[in-house]
Amino acid sequence: MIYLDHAATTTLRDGARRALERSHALAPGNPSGQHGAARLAKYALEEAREVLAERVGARPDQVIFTGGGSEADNLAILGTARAWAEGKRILVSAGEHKAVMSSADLAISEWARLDGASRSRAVGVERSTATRAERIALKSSGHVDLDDMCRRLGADGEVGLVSVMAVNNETGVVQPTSAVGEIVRRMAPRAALHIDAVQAAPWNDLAPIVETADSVAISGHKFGGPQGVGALIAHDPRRLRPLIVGGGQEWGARSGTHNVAGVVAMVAALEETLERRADEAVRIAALALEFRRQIERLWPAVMWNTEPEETVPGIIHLRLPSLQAETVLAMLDHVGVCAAAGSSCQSGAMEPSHVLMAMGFGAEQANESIRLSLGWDTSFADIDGAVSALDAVISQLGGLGAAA
Amino acid sequence: MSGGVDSSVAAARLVADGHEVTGVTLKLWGGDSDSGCCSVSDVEDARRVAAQLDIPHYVFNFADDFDTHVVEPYVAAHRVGQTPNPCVECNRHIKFARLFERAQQMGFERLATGHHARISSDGGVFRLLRGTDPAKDQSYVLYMLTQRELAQTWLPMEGLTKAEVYDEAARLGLRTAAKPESMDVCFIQRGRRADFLGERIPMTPGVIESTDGSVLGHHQALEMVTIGQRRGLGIAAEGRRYVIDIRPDEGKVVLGTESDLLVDSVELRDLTFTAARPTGRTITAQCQAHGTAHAATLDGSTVHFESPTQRVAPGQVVAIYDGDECLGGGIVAR
Repeated sequence: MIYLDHAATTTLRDGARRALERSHALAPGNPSGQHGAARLAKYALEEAREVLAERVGARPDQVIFTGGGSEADNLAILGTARAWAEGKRILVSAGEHKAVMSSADLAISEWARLDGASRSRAVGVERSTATRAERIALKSSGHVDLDDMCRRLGADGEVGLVSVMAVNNETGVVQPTSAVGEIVRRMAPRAALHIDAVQAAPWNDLAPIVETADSVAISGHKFGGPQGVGALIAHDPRRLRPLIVGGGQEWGARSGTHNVAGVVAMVAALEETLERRADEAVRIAALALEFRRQIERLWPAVMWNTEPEETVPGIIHLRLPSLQAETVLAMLDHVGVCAAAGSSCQSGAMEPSHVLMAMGFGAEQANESIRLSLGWDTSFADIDGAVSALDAVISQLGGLGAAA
Repeated sequence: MSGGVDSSVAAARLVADGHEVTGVTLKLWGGDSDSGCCSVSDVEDARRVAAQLDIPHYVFNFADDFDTHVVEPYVAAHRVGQTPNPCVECNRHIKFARLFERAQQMGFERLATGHHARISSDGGVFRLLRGTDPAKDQSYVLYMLTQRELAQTWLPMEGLTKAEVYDEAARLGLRTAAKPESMDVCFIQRGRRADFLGERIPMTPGVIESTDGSVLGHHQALEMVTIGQRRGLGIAAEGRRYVIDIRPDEGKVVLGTESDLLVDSVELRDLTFTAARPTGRTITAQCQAHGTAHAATLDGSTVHFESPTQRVAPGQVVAIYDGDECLGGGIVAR
């Protein structure tokens, strides 16, 4: 099998595997307990927290462990908006992950209901009737449109929260987070800035992102950790309303018994990632380039949806004019090549990607696009195999049409 | 694979026969629904069965085509007082067209479905036959298949009664073994047809008349009335009264007795035949999915019944048979 869907989930790193095995071999221990077994678990958990905090330039008490990236995004957005004394505007980039989009829309609709109940409160014109968060436009390159963001920050009605991802999960385009941070601080100093760094963590240094934002979400399985564990690094976790209440773990920001093994493995994966990333990034960028070169030679009509210098090394997004991504992906799967069309949804059906649509693609063009994502264990043989598989699939489907 | 028991067992039988099988679930509808092939839980069921059978499984999104070829015509037909059959249009335009073409494009040799019917081949001619279980026969909704589709379609349910299907699903330990059958239009929630149509087309209230022109009452929406309907109009009259005519231009619904419904013939449009057009022989015509087959002859696009038969609502399907063989059919023109 050739696995080229690392942006969906990536291979467990050796360090993470060892950490999981070590944790599972330990005596049972709930880190919230008061006995020796509990202390062992607590020790492992807190050591992991310290390592993570140190690696991303935060204090240990700014790290909230969650059940994954979506929960971290939800906590940042709903946890912020639900703590407001009154409704405010929320700006999200049009390319955000659905975990951000949906929680921002939910926050707005919750406030719209409250505002509806007490109309007397003065809020922005757009705000009072909005049932979803405002989208900051994307440019055709896939970057967030900073001019549009400035216009929106300057409009009437206080902006309470801005969310812009660090790296897009579908296209891999690296977003100008430091510029976003500067603009938000200058134009809306009271607004919180959330950055979804789930796809950035495998590739980019998180410290500048953490420095810029009020909160940053990461997810273990995107950088070689296990699934079902993530973290929100929050400047001030005590200001967040919790989504899960109960035993008051994580300073009350996230109740529930800790996933100690998951946390320890995630942090081990991060350490291994940081150790090897410089070399891996160069190698993977070369593999991506090689893929592109070979496909270009075979099928010059292939369209590349992004420029390599604008993206993280591991994500290739291309369009096969006149071919349906659904068909192409099923046929690739049949010969053992795993790829995707963008973010996957629960039913598994493909919808035109909202990210590509925001970049100006038509629904048809979006439905002709596929994503290949490379990871730390992708080899040259994988690329070679993927090229011949894709070549065979395109041939079987009768070749590429002219780009519409 | 709809997530139902029939297509699950169909896939299992093909796998057991040693074929290289791939499961496909169609996403056809983005709106609310509580049955059919559309909901996430049905997709999950199909995916789980495919995993149990160790075959690949994909979801193909044909929602746009479904909207264009099934939902919009369904709504438009109601607007002119007709009673369409969306399952037939889905088979015609989606399953045995879009899916069929995609399967061919992908290099598959056959398309298999969980329909209860049989296909036989006899001297190079493919024939569509009724299913083994008369109560579950679905040849009626497959009447539009022609040689091209029949040659490349497999119906692995052939030879099984519905009870046997459930037994086989249970024996294989398939998750769908205990699932109830879906009966309704898959894109409309149970009991919500009036709301569904009302959101899309204006509802025309009007007069209910008897055959002599006297006013019997009023109806709320002509679009919700069907020829042959006996209940639900709120008219208390002695004897059984049936809707014998719908006049969209006047907003009128006409009630009469059962004998007023009887007709000698029915005019069809868009006739298709599974093989050659039957000539000069007696056929039977079936006007409902599980209705009686009436002896008749076919003359051009007109079906002449041997004895007077209840009028069929325009838009409905009449499938024609010779014994157990479905020869084709058409849609009631008026």
